[in-house]
Formats: sequence, structure tokens, C-alpha cells
Amino acid sequence: MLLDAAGLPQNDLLAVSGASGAHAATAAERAALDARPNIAPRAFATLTGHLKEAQFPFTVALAALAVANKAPYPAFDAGNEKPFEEIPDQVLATTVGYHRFEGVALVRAA
Amino acid sequence: MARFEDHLGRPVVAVTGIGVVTSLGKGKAENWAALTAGKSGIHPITRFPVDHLSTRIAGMVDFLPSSSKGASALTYELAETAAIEAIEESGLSRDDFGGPLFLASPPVELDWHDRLALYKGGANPDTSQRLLEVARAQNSLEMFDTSQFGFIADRLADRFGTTGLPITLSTACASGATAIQLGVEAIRRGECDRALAIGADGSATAEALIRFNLLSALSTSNEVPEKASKPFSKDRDGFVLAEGSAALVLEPLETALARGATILGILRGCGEKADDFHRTRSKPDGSPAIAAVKAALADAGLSEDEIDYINAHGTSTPENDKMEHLSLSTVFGERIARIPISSNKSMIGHTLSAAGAIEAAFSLMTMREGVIPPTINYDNPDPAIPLDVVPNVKREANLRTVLSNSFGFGGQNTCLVMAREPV
Repeated sequence: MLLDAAGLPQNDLLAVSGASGAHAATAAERAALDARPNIAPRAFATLTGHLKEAQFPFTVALAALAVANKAPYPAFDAGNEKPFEEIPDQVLATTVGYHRFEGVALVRAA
Repeated sequence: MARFEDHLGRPVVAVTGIGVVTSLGKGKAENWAALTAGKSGIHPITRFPVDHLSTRIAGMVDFLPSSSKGASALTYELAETAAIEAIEESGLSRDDFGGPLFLASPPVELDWHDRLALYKGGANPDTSQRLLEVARAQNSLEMFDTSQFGFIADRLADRFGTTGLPITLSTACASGATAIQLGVEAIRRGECDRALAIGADGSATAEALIRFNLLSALSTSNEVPEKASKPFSKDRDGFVLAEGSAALVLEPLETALARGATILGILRGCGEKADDFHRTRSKPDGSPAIAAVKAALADAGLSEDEIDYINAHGTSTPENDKMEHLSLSTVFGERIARIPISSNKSMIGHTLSAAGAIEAAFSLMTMREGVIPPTINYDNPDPAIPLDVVPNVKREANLRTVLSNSFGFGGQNTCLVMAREPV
């Protein structure tokens, strides 16, 4: 529902995911992203741990950096994340709490 | 024909529903009758043992089913009860509200019922190991939820069908006013056609009492509880910890009138200013409180001459009441001696996270009813702060505008300006 409301582009889209790794919430997020084959997610929490209150601002910052640098992130986990080689002019940031609440933001080049 | 845009071209924000619960009772009717009769809701604490405590009185809400079930359960019930009254009055849907929720509520901790249940839940003589074992085996989502700050708003959002991510906020004693400010600003930005703003606090726990006592903030006038809260009196000796809630339904005036709603008042302006001086003391020159009042007046598009009544923060602490007088004297000049100013806290105590919302609700009722609730227990006026505190007895008055102050302990100051009628 959130992804519908975000008005996402139809072309290939890089997504920075703030997924915590909590089993139920992360499985639900993955199912929602997998249902859209044009989305290439990059989940970073294995590298940083979960930043709690700062998780979503950090996610949006990573999305903005990718847009500003005109460079996608490599797969953080090649076994689970598909390649994305294009210059990203839009990047989706997602956050699904480990227990409650979720949100997304689409970051676009100015 | 009312104007639908304010002096800055923003939508005028109307109040179409009010709900309130305090130690004086449940609902507007019970509260208003007690407030205007000058009745106090302060009473001896019975919820937990008070042996060896220097403060043994509070304005707790002891008459709800959740009153003995811990801070999370009681705060939820207080918020829900006030919201039901407000939404019903507004005539909007009780289960499909259709606008955002802003909840001011206290920080929560695991309740003693649950802590003791964990402590007693196993046989391992090593206490710390036992607690870990019991907690792991129990793995109780229900218990976990009561310790989560966002849980109460999440339940309320489901209960009333509010939209978007429910916002839970805490700006200390200004929280209730901040919740209203966020609702007003959401409507002004054109984000929504209605907003539900709630302040609720059911956290008068033993820890809260002891912590505020250690700050020397609480009255220790235990012998006659109803006389303990005495704002602006010379012998004031601290605030009285209390519980309660209030909910406001906010709508653009235009939308509210178009659907035939009764307009209970107008939220004209909000102002805030942080005080960076000290963790609990206010800046000696009063500049943050002065700036908050001025910001609210500017936001409302009113001059200081156009405020008819002030609903004081008036906590009854030596520091606050002196500082509030200094700040208001600076803003209003000599006229401050003639503006009626009363403190609801003289009767209900300090409801902390809920205070700003409850006092906004009472301010709106004060204008609508044309009756100012008194400051009770004003038996020994403080000559250093000469004010017309509407001493001890209610007063009839034709009031067009009110300033309601919330000056938080931790430096969060928020002021609201309300009007009886649209312009």
C-alpha cells in the first residue's frame, strides 16, 4: 500500500532499505519489494546495525548520496540483491520498524 | 460572513470537539461544574505505599478501570475517553476519523506489576539470571508493548481510524500544547481536513513522585490536600503531581462550517521558544517565556492589548510563578495587573504531558461560557507578583481571546492563543 501511495516510477529503481532483520517485518518488506521486479533493494543494516531513531534519516541520506553522486550502490549481499548499473536519478528509501510503523520516501535529483 | 484565511493567508483553524478527564471527573460537564465551584481534585495517594515519602498527595485519576493497571494502560484509557467525547461532539466518525493523530504522552517504563511478576516468575536463586530466564521464557509481546513510547498512539490510531503515521511527542510540561500546535500546523499546511490532538498523562507513579521530589519541585502540604496547590500565593511550596487528558478536534473553519459543525472556538496562534539556561531552572531574565508569548501573539495576528484573559501555567512552584509574572509583565506592561489570569492547576494539579491540552480545553470553555474558573487557595497573596488571579471565586466575564501558557521544566515553552469567535 505504501509503495502504491509513493507514486513510484515504472523503470528500474534502486531502493535503500532500512530493514532491521527482524524476521516477520523483514520478510514482509522483502515480499512487497520482490513483487515489483523493477526494484533493486540494498539493505545496509548488516553493515551498520540498526540505528533505531536514526535509521530512516540515515536511509534517506544514503538515497540522497546515490542521487547526488550519480552512482548506485553495489549489492551489499550478492546472494540476495540483484545488480543495478544505471545512474540513479531517483532512489527509494524504505523503513519498516522491527515491530511497528513503516514509511517510504522517494528521493529525486533536484 | 467569517473569513476563512488568517492574517498570513493560512486556513483559520476551528475547534469542533472537546473532551476532558481530570481528577475532578470524566467529561466536560463534571469538570466544568467542579472548576467553577472552586473544587479541588487533589487527594491522598492510595495507589502505592507512601511511607517515608515527603509528598503523599496527588491529583490522580483513580476512578477509571485502568487506574490500577499501570501508566501505559491508564494513559491509553485517559486518551481514549477524552477522544471519544471530542469526536462525538464534533459529529465526525468515531472509527473512521480520517485525519492525523498527534498524541502528547509521558515517557513510559515497565510497570512495577510486570517487574515484580518477572522477579517472582522463577526459581533460580541468582536474581539477574532468573530475570533473564523468566523474560526469555515469557517472551510477552503484551508486556513489551507497555514499555514502548509509540504503542499508545498506535492503539488510538487503530481505534479511531486516524490517517498516516500517528505522532507521539513529549516536550515535557508543554507537550499537550505542542500536540495542538502540530495539529494546527498540519491544517495550515493544507495537509488534512481534520486533526485529532490529544494530551494524556496517567504516569503519576512512585518513581515520578520521588524524582520530582528530589528536584524539590513538589508541594509537601500533605495535611490538607485540597489546599496544597496554591499558585501565586506567598506560601506556595511546589506543584502537585496529577493525571488527566484532553482531546481537541481541529478543522479548517471553512470545512467545519460547510458540514454544519458547531464552532467551539478558534485556535489563532501558537508560539514556542526553548530555554537553554539550565536543566530545570528557567533563564533569570525570562527571555524564553517572553519570546514564546510574543511568538504566539504574532502568529495569531493579535497585539498584547487584544488578550482578554490568561490561562496561566501557574504551577505553584516558587520559581515558575515568579518567572511567569516577570515574563507577562514584560510583554503586557502595566496592563498585566488588570488582565484576569487564573491557574486551573490550583484545582487539578499539574497534569504534566496533558496540561497544555487540558488547559486549552478549559480556556475554550471559559470563553464560551463567559465564566472564569478561579485560582483557589489564594489566601496569602505574594506581594512580589501582584496579579488579578480571579481569587477563590469564579467570575463572569465577556472574553474574546485567551492566552494559555505552558512553560516546561526542561526548557520547552509553548503558548497558544485562542479566540471565541472567527473574525
